[in-house]
Amino acid sequence: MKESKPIKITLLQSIITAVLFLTALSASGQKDPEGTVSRSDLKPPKTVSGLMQARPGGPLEEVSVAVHEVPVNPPSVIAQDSKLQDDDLVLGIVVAGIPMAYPIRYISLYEVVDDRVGETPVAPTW
Amino acid sequence: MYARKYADREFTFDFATGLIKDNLLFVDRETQSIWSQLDGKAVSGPMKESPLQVVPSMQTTWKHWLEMHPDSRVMHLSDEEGNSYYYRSRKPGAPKPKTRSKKHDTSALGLALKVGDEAAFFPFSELEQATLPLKFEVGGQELLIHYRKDAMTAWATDSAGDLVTTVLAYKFGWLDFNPASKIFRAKENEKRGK
Repeated sequence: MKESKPIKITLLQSIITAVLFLTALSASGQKDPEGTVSRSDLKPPKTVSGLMQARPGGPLEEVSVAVHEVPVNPPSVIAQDSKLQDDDLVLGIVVAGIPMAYPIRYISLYEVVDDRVGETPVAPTW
Repeated sequence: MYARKYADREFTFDFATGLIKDNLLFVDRETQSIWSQLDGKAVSGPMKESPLQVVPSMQTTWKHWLEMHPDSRVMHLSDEEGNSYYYRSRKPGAPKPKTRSKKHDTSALGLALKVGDEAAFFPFSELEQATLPLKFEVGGQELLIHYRKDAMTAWATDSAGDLVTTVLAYKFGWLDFNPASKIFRAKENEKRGK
């Protein structure tokens, strides 16, 4: 019994360490190994105000406009699993030798996406 | 395509539904500054006038991209059953449209780039008539301009063969931000070369 205490503490420490690591990973908005969608810990404002056009061709005026939240670190797949057609348009980049493609069909849903390729945080937009 | 960084500070962007010069705007979660998509600079808020670094990218067809980068990964959005989101549908798993236009309106589209203070725009319709790849000097730098009609794309490389920062844009949008931009004309260019 006397020797079981340190073992329990070690296990507890391991669990705490794992929870802290996962919390830190989630909070930092990094992509997890499974490639599921993770999000930044900061949330976007619901609206922003400033000198803008409220509609295409409209005048510059002081307005408040809605903000749409976009995916942060969206999942990705290898080319064979993409289900894209030959003539689908993509935005392609190569960062530190890593090629990555963003189908315009997805980017145009959100207009901008927050991703990371290698160590570089990128914002593909269309 | 931008790097989400300025002065070692990382930003997370969302889509703000207003416009400036009819161009899209982003807002960052960290400072709530508003940024212009085409200009790549903050237009208001604490980060006003801060420029984002452009990441050289290429807009092209999936087929063409895969020819160049067969090991590429690709962003993929799907619902819980793995059904893809389809173009212009916010509903996951929506059936693929029965008729989908194969045409892409390239009448006002072109390759746009800036070297230093000098901007240039290469309309696709003019590149179709040019001898390719096209040698062209912008801002004192000699570039090679490439165009592939079947892949609906154009891009530029420098003397080392590296991709140069460009954007595919509509002429009116590019000129709103760069009114002094050169506009490439195939016939004029041919005459100058003779």
